[in-house]
Amino acid sequence: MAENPDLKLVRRLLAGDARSFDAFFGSYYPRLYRFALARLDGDADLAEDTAQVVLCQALSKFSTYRGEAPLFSWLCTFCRHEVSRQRKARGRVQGDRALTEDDPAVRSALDALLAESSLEPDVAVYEQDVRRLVKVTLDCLPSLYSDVLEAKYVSELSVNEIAERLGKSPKATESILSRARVAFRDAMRVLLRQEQGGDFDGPSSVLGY
Amino acid sequence: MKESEELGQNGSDAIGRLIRHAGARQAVPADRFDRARARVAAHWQVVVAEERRLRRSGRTRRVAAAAAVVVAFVAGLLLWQRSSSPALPMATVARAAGQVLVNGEPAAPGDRVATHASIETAADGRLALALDSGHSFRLDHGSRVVVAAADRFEMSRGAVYVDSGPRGAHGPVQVATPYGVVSDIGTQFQLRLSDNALEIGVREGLVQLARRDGSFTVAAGSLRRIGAGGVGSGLPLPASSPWWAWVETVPAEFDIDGATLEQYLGWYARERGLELRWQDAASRENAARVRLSGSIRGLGLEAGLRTVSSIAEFRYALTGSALQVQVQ
Repeated sequence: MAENPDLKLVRRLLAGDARSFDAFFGSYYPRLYRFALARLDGDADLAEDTAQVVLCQALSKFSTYRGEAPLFSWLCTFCRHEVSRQRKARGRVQGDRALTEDDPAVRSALDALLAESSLEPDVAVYEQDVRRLVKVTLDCLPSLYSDVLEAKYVSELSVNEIAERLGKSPKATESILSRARVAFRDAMRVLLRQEQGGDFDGPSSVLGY
Repeated sequence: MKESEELGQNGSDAIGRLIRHAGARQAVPADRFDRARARVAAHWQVVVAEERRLRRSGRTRRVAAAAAVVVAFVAGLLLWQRSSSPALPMATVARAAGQVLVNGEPAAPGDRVATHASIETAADGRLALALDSGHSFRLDHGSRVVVAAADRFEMSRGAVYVDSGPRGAHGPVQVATPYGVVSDIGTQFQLRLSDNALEIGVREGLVQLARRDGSFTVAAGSLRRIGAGGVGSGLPLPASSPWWAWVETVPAEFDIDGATLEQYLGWYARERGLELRWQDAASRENAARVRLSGSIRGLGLEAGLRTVSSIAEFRYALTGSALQVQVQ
């Protein structure tokens, strides 16, 4: 059986593998920074410190990580605690941000997504939350997937250009893109269903396309 | 399953529109990313070293004695950092006084130093390295470091001084010690290692100490002692304290040719931890206009100042912790 990729990364990190550290930091720091930024009233200095502290805490506790939860979920748990501590320290308790993705149901959907759940949900949702949920969803996908989706649809790069950036063939890149789209679609469906509990007719119904 | 079966063309288009509609996720600004990376990397090194120590100890009980942690930490770090990567030049010897050995050979100004090098100063030796990153890295008597990477040193004894320069060097330098990994955040600092403690003194800026039990910062003008009992509270350490005196005996080189008098005096004052005071506004303006030529290479700080003052004809006086200058 293939080794859990998160556990494999942790094992390599603890063994001192420098490439794994680069991959770990490059993948998780930006996501945790955004996670913290959204919960700290956009305070970039605090988000920078919080995400850094979280990664240091996690590194110190990696020997206890068993791979039962996806690594990003595990890191987010640290981050929630650290954000809460920071907010208390700065007297921001009253102003806690109520984010959709902090709702227990949505959080559990995100965890399911991170665990590569293959639920078949149907959903409807409010447009004002969609942008953020799309970004949260991208952050929950494997970095490779979210990066190629952004490169394709936000930066509007061609498959050949993305392939060049990735150092892969156009065919392999097309295949990654294809899997990324499927993962994204499934992820959004899970999230939106969890949030609304209603029917979902596809992404176009969300934005009125 | 192919995408066409999984999503269909419409599904694919809709996903594209959805992601485009949301726009790009917010990127982490490069300076924040680099800063955080340096700090997390320092902490990671501590964790890796500790992990190795635990693995080596096998099934035996973990010994709590701090000294054992210290020794194993250094050994772990040596193993981790001295990988199979090739040796890359990363610094030039700026000054060497007394007996200084690089990889067992006597060092002389102008010598290049590469990664993996072992550097040792004898009881009469002192060394100043000009790192390619822009840092000045100096060793006091009886010191030993290993160059783990272009921006990482392992220190096992003595004292070192790091100066990232007035305009800040390219990226931080890390110094791994048995008591944790110290990173500069644009600063001048000194580490002094004894048998049972590490002292961190900061002259300017801020440094971070990453340890298994957390990260600590030491601010300018303070000294912190880290021993078996943990990290002590800060003590005041003025920039002009005698604690810094040895650093002035192996100063960095300053190329005066083409530099202004103002630049030179700013550098001199910084090297000595002095406040630069202009006699009047005109003095500063005049100093900014005076262009120097020639060389003071190889001269000590005082001899260099005397030479420049004879060329540029200015008056100066050392008053306590300040350098008072008049330029007509």
